[in-house]
Amino acid sequence: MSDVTMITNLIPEKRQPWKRPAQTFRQLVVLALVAGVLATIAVRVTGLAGFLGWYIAFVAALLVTVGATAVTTGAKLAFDRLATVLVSVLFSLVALPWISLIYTVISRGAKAVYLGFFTTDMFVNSSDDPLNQGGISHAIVGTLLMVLVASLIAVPLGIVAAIYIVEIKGRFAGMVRFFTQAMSGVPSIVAGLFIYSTVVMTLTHKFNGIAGALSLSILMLPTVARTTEEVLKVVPRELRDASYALGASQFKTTFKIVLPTARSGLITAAVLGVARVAGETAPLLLTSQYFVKFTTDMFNNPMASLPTYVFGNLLTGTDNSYARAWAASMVLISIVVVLSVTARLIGGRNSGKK
Amino acid sequence: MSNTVSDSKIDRRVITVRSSGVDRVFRILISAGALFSLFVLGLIAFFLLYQGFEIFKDFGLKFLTSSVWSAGSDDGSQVASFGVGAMLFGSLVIALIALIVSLPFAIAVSLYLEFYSPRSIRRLLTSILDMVAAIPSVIWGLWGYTILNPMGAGWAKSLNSWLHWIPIFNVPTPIFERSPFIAGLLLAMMILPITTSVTREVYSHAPRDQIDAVYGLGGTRWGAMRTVVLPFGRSGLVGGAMLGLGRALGETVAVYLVLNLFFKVNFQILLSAGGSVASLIATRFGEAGPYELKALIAAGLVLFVVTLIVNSIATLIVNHGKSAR
Amino acid sequence: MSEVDSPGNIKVTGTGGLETKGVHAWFDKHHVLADVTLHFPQSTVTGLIGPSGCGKSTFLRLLNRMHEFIPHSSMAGEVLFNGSDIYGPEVDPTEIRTRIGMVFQKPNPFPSMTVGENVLAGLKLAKKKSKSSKDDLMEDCLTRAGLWNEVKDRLKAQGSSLSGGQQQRLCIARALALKPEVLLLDEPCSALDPGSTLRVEETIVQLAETMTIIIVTHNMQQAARVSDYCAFFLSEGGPGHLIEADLTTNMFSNPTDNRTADYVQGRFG
Repeated sequence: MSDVTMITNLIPEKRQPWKRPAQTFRQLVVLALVAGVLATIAVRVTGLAGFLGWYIAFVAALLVTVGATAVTTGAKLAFDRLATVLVSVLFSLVALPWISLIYTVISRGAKAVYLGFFTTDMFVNSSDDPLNQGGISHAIVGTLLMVLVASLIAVPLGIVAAIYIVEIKGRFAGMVRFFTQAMSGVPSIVAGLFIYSTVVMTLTHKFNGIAGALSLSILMLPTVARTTEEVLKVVPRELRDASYALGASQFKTTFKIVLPTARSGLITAAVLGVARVAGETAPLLLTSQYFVKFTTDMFNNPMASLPTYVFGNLLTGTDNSYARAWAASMVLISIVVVLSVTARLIGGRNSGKK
Repeated sequence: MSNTVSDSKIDRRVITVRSSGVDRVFRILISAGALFSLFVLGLIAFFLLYQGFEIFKDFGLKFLTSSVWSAGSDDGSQVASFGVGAMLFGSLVIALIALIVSLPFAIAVSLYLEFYSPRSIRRLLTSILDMVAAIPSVIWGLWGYTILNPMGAGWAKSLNSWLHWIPIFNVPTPIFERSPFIAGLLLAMMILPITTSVTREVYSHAPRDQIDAVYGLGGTRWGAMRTVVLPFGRSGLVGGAMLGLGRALGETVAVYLVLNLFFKVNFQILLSAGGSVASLIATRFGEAGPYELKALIAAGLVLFVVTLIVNSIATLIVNHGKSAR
Repeated sequence: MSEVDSPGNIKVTGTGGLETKGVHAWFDKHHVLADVTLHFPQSTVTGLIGPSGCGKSTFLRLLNRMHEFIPHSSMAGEVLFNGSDIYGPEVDPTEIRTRIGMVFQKPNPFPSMTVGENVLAGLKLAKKKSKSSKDDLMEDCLTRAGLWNEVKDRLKAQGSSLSGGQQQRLCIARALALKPEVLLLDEPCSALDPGSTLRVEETIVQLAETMTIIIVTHNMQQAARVSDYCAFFLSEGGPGHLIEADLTTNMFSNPTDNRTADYVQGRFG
């Protein structure tokens, strides 16, 4: 026997003997079948209706079946299996409304979308008109403009508040922090009520896009401030220390070192704030109300927005108006989802949190 | 001979920094900006108080306890009387239903995401949860009104036929649409992502070495959940629940669509009669005269204070939990 | 007396016990442990020594099926407990862990339980019934762990309120409640002060009368103090493997391999 074969012992094949996918799969299938049979019987007997009824019966039957395995493997393992099934099942139940919502939005909204949907407004049409007339151009531009103005107000203010808390650490930092967090709990209708009673009722005496934007900025500010605060805190101390050691002022350090380092986080904060307010309805009902015409005038007339468009069409209550509401919902969800995904992608692991 | 010099004999130097011009301006501007936000919050409270003050003067505490909401008649033969009692009670009822229904699911989903789901799809599922959290309330309301409402009425009917001997499930007349039960269910779905998000984050910090200890003693995954994760995550769960509660109390549009307002305190949650302060404001706003408007503002103030308290407690609990880790 | 056959094969006249045959371990594609064949005689203390990073702790975790909790981990070879492979297809790993217990490096009593509840936690988790009364079992385990006198009036205190050394002895007591046949200790004293270390070592020596003990340690003096046998692991750039296994006295005074000699004489570590 040569030395080489003695030294280079054959390395055996890697195993994962704790994983037995075939056996686990077989067990699952058996359990599911048994539960399915029991569920079908139960539904016949008790008269629970529809898919949902059968699903509930299936879940109950599955739990009973899994519990029954305690006979063969003992209580400890049966409890563990039961917990696994229960947790997974509850998760699936939670997903049902989400699936239903997305499905309904798409299936009922698709028929109202045609080429002109995004380019026409409802100035010459009523909500009940046939679906190949009218559109949401006024709602889109309204949402865009109001959210833009709200961002121009809330994003700088939010970032400034965060800088005050994290960089300057002023005397009132604790108070500012606590109250911006508390402000995030202001009910949206109260924000609308506030702008109504100060701006609309007292100052301008009219409903317009600016009032809407102001109410949105109240809701946006806390989100931006809190996210920015988290992001600034993550910037390492060493960077600031290095800058100060070179003799830089706090102003230069903040604006040339800290903020650029946190740039992606700041964008995330802004995007999250936008996603938060793009779908708000209640405050707009009290401030910008609704307007059927496409307009960029934010001062002299009310302004439409996607959420109020949905709301108004829903209240009209005819088949066509419902279809329009669903279609606008589709557009609104798409915008909000795209924004959330963008925020997550830009910010990496730290985005998407409150 | 002792050489000890007592601390008090050593004069400490006081270091004063006079900021350079640039930094002084910087500090002033930033401070002004930050305090402006504080100022706005105070302004909200002040203005609401100012406008609503007349109402509190006229009705006093009865505003909180009375359930009558009537604007009176124009000729003055009927006097206006405003009270948010029923609406406040209703807000609390539907928020409570939402909490009770969503909490078990929040725990289950958090556990599932952190410990039970296949690792490969974990990030995807968490992203899906975050996206669901972003669904605007008007769309939930739309779905709630068209899909959930009829289904929920059917469930309420069955629930009523089986459990009507329990007082809250009894109804004087079999009208089940747009009830506190349905509103509570819808709210539960809406606040689930928030509660789950907070809870899941806390569970993700559960000490792995103790989980290892459970396995080392022959325990199962469920044993580890029960002995380590759930006790550890208790404060996070409470904080998350309270945040959800705050959201549920302030929710307007969705509740407007799936709840029928009724101006009397109603315990029978399956009946089509409920209350919500936010919904009240949205409903009555269009037709309100100046006096009723002040009443609505006063109602808004009440709602603001309640949600502020709830959210403050929630924030304290969540932050306390974070610092304790 | 024992007969040393060839490196890694101590033959002892006796039955049962724990042995490994050609055991390997991987983390994903990373081969961390290669071809370990060892026999652990009953009622002895075996110390696993060697520099850090050579796979001793990984090896230990293969013995009670804790290695598989690491995602994408795999193994090869056999671990025979009383003659049968613990990685066999019908084996319940949670059952194995009640018979092969483990004490970890960092003391980890359950903070949600009192001292007394911690001791009995294993019974609750493994759903085992104890033949003697709960109080007797608690006292017995705490005594054997050398902790009874210090905590007998504090059984209702929170588990985390004890000092580091006491917490570790509490963890030992907790492991003992399941009456394991083998006890694995992963550097149990590395987080403790010298006084506590000494007390834990005394406990280990006494426990060896009724069970087989395997202890991973960085501290050679500790290995010399507590163990009957030693196994020396080393990684020379690749996976860790077993260099030599022998009676402790032999290994320290007259090691066979040069590398063992270098290590025990402190020329590297």
